[in-house]
Amino acid sequence: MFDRLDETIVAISTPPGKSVRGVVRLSGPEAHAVAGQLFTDNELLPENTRFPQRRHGVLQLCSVPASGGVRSAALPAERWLFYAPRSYTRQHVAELHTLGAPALLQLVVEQCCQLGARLAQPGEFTARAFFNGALDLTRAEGVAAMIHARNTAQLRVARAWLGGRLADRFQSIHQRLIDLVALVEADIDFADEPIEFITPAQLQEQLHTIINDLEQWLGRAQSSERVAPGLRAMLVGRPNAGKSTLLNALHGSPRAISSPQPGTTRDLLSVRLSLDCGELELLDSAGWDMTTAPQDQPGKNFFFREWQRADLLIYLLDISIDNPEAHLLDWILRDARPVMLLANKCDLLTTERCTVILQQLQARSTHSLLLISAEQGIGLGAVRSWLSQTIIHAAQTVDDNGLILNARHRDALQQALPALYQASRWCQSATAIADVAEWIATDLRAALHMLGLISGSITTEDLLQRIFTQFCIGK
Amino acid sequence: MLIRYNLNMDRTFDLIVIGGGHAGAEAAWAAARLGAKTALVTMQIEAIGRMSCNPAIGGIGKGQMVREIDALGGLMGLVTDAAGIQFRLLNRSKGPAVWSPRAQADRQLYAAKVQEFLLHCLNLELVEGVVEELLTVEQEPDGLRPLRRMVGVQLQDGRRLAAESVIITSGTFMRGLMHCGEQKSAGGRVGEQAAVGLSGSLEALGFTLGRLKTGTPARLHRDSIHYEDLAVQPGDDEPVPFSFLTSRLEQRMMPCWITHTNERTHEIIRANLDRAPMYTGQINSTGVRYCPSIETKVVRFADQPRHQIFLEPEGYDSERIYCNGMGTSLPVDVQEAFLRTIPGLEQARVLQWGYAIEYDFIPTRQTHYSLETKRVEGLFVAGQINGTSGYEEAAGQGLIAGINAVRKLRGQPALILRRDQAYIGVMIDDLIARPPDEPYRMFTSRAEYRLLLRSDNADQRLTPIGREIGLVDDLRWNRFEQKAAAIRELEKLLLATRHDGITMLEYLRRPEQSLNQLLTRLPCQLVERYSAEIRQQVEIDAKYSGYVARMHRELERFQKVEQCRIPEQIDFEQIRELRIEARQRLTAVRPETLGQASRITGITPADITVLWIHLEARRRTPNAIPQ
Repeated sequence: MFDRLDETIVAISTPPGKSVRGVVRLSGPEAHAVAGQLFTDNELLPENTRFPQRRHGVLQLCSVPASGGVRSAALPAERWLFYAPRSYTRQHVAELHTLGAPALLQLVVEQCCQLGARLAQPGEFTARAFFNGALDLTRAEGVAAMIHARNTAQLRVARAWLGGRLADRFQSIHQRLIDLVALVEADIDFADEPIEFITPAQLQEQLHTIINDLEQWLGRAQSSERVAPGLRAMLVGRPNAGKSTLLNALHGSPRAISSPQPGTTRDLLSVRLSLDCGELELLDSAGWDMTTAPQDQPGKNFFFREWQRADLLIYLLDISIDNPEAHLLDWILRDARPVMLLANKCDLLTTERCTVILQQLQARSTHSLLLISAEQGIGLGAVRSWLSQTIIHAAQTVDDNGLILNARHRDALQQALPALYQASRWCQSATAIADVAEWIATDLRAALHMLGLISGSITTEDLLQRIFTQFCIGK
Repeated sequence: MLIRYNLNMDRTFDLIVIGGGHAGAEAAWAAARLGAKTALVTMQIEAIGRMSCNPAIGGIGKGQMVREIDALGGLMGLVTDAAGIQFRLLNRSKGPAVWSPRAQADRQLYAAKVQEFLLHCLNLELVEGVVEELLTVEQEPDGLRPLRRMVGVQLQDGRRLAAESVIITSGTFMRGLMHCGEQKSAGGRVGEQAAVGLSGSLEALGFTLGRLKTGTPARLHRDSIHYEDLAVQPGDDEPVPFSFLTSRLEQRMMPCWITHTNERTHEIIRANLDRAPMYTGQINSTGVRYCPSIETKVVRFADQPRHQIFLEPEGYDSERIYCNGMGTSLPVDVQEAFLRTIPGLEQARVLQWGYAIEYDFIPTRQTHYSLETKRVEGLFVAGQINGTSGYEEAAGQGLIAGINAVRKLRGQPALILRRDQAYIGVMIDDLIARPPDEPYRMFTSRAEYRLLLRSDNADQRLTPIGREIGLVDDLRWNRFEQKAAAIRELEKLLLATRHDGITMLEYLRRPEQSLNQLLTRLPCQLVERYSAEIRQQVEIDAKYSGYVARMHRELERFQKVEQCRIPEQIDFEQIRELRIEARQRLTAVRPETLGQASRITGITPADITVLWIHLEARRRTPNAIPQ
């Protein structure tokens, strides 16, 4: 992954979600060339200079949706070129600044990949900066820790993902491919056994079903990701319940202005929250008198739409006021989405009082309930772990729309396909597997390697095990 | 210097090899040829080089390894060419990348040839005796070195031999226990005693020993077989030698025969499973999956109506026929009964019954990539003792252990072949990074760079390395250089000649084009200068050049990480960003490069990145990060 410093990598570098401006960043020897090819004017810029170059232009984008046809778009954009070693990563870096629509940015990234760039791994830009000497030692540990956390998170999400229904289908494709590789390998390694492990026609037929499945999948996955980039959690509560304080505490930096004054937060604020097993978007909303449910509010506003789109709700209750349980409203209790009730400001009450309130709340609600103090940082660990659990749960219950077939998964599938096509072509020309076994094996193993990036790599031992359980081999 | 320890040594050597099998022979040969004063300690000199099991060398994956041993200046290829009685190039219908030479050998002649080579080898002394104890002394702890180091060995008869390096290649002899039905007998091979003292000595030094099992089939009298019912399997008409030094094989060739078991055979075996040590629990060590006994085949593949049996002659003058495919540990009367049901063997006279053997091995998590043990400095292990099976696997390790033991004595870095350099490199990397729990056998599928590791180019890959370390003599080196020069010349010629608008060399890359056809367009006198061997090599190189170039590009990219060295004194436990499991696994294996670390079971790419960042940070300020 990180060892390939000479490859050109690409990623969206602005936070997810809609914003006025979005940035796609590339780093590596081909960064400038790839960025240049996206522009209609294709103006030649100096190959090397001390100073960053900045140009306005028009991005030419086209996509081939699963539904067929070709869509194309032209976007005004700005191109920034930074020259090695005067850049963040000390390599050539290009930045494309354009409109901040997630679907468009995604498309820009895809086109960069088609032009030879590769999707960046989490932390890869920073890692490059480090390896190229742009970051000092004090940050080395931080980089390592970050990569660790992100990868552990990915691993868990991947595992969770692989526990669901979608996963069963993917696993079955992976297993079928492993079986095929095992058969071709067997033809090479056990040539003196009187067994025809597989014929070219059989192999080709099976390859075709695998290729079909992957192609179909890719088609669906592409469209689904643009719609749903990840889970969104929304903080809900009366004014001064402590929503902004909680957001800041969870995020670890003062993103929202918080004050003891009710109504400090006026508009919607969004932060990206990194958790043990993935990331989610956390929305802070202005508090409002919650006696009417959002759907019953006159003039459904911006807040309502965000509330409707949220995947999970965090309902904050100020228990330092009188009769807090009275503020536990029916429309919150009835919400079918995952909801967490947080009894905030517990530091202002005695333990006995807290227990009483907790019991009262528990009696009324089946939602998860936690006692916290956002101000004092009490109970935040539990909030984080609840959010993690919810992400994993969501990942497990994704349906065939493939919510979590993320960019990396798709990248792996896309790279596996050409190798499968090549293997299939070898079958076409052969009368016996023996004629082409070494070539087919090379291509199939390349494909297997890519799929292994999603569901864990396999070793020769695994292949041999398959051969030995299926065939009576050996003298 | 040894006198300091007052150990009363009888003789002093630089290096002692324990065991004269295929690993021991290569180790002793390499060490002595590198100039170390070497002793090979064996129970019987006349048993050196003995083939305990089938009378064959090479095969798929294994044949490539023999070529590599030869290219490095080892023994096995030369001996096989001298003692072979049938040669076949397996996988000939496929591409050259998977061509694998295999030979039937005359058992007697094979052992005699090995002994001849060793007896005439300068610096090498053959010592008959049984090693009773490994002699070690404590050394000052410096946090790096093991706490003990080798000083010699003690023999059963009381003699003490001094050496700073000892290589154990004990094969199946350590606490060998043979099973034939309910009967058990101690021994390393039929008629040969087991080595018991060595196991105890290793355990006393703190090594953990494991138990493995292998088996061997019955040997029949050649005159008691009805050949008229059997299919003949001849060797190749144009036999291909193993050694790059052998130009032609002139000896008389012998055929093998093929027969099959049938339902009646299987019935008898099934009816007597309660008497098979593998099924009664008498043997509970791990057996070889790819070399299953006949009873295992019958049980596991109950729907197969028959199994193939190869009848292989053990030599020109030998009356023994080896029944390949019929390994068993069933009692004698059952073996007798099922043998009678097999076509051609109805009246076969058995000279030696099949048996299974259990033996001690040293699980490889206790071993470095150089094949030196982690626990005792100067103690090396090679062959079946490392949990492998097969003569070729043993020989490959023996050669490397011999080389590295000498290099260690001289303070030179160990020779560690990479996975893209040699099957031998693949094998040792597998053994150390993923310690096997069943006998390890080479397959071409274990090599991710299979298209690079061909039997035809073993000399191109390894002879320069063998020359550099001093094992390739002038004779071999001159031949290699001549061949290399001729190849370059012919390639230049093809590059300079155009055909159909492109150079002939490019033209040759097309799958359907053959060099000989192409050469008809060149003047005769130009072409005749190049032997068939040279032409074939040029053609193969051209056919693979596309893939090879791609693999080299890929390799180059990974090389930076692959070759990134991990300092010996690193304490993985102190790298907080690593997962606890990763810390433990890295500590256990102690990889020497990041590439090796990446192949350890349970290590993720993220772990490698974290480790890499840590190494980079250390490199920048060696003193800033405390160890």
